Amino acid sequence: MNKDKKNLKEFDAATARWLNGKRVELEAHLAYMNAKLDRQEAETKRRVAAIKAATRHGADRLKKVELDYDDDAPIAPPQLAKFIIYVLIPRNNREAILGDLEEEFYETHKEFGLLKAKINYCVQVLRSIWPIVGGIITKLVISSIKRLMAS
Amino acid sequence: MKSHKDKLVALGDLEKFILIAIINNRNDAYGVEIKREIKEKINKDVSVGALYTTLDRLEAKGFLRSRIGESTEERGGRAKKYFHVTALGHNTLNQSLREIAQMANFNPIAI
Repeated sequence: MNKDKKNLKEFDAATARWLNGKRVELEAHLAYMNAKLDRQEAETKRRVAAIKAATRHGADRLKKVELDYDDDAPIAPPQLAKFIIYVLIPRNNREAILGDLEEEFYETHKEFGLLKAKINYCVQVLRSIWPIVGGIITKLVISSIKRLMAS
Repeated sequence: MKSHKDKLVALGDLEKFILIAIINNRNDAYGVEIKREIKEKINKDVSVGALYTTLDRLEAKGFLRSRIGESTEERGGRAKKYFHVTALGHNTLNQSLREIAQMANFNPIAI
């Protein structure tokens, strides 16, 4: 009877050890699986972000191409650039300069498309600002010197 | 006393290019034609602002005369401004080119 009890105790102890070993093993496996899942989640997030960025870039490019070849888009020089040059240029040359810029705009549009024509128009306006302002300042300085000399 | 010839004003590079471009264009050219001629011949891209400031200066010096020309649809209905080189402009340009030729030991008659 005592022997049976002893055997039972040993069996219980062995089962407990085996169960404990299995628990440790399972915990380790769970930790490994969690880490693997974290890594996979991070990789998936990175890929989704890359796909989103590529889609945005593609959409932007498509918009640009559509703008270039859209027959319905208004073919006219950029209004702000036109206004800047209109304000700056002296009245006697206003018609000629605006006309020349517009003629060049339509020529560029025919050859390279709307976007490049608009960019070229803006570049021409920006490059023209200083010579025009410089010319006005020079004229003012010369006239004031002449007035001083006369008085 | 200095003669009129001695008092001829010195021309800048852009002024010379513009005068030559107008003369090359049958001595009657507007802004776009002058720009195109300079771009084609010496590959210099002159801005519209610089071009018209120089044209104004040349006109004030008496080297150029301008007239208002026709307007076209591609110019938004705006009139062209044609320029032609005056006799004084011709003389000054010749003098300037001759001076360069003399300095460089070219034959001035060729110019």
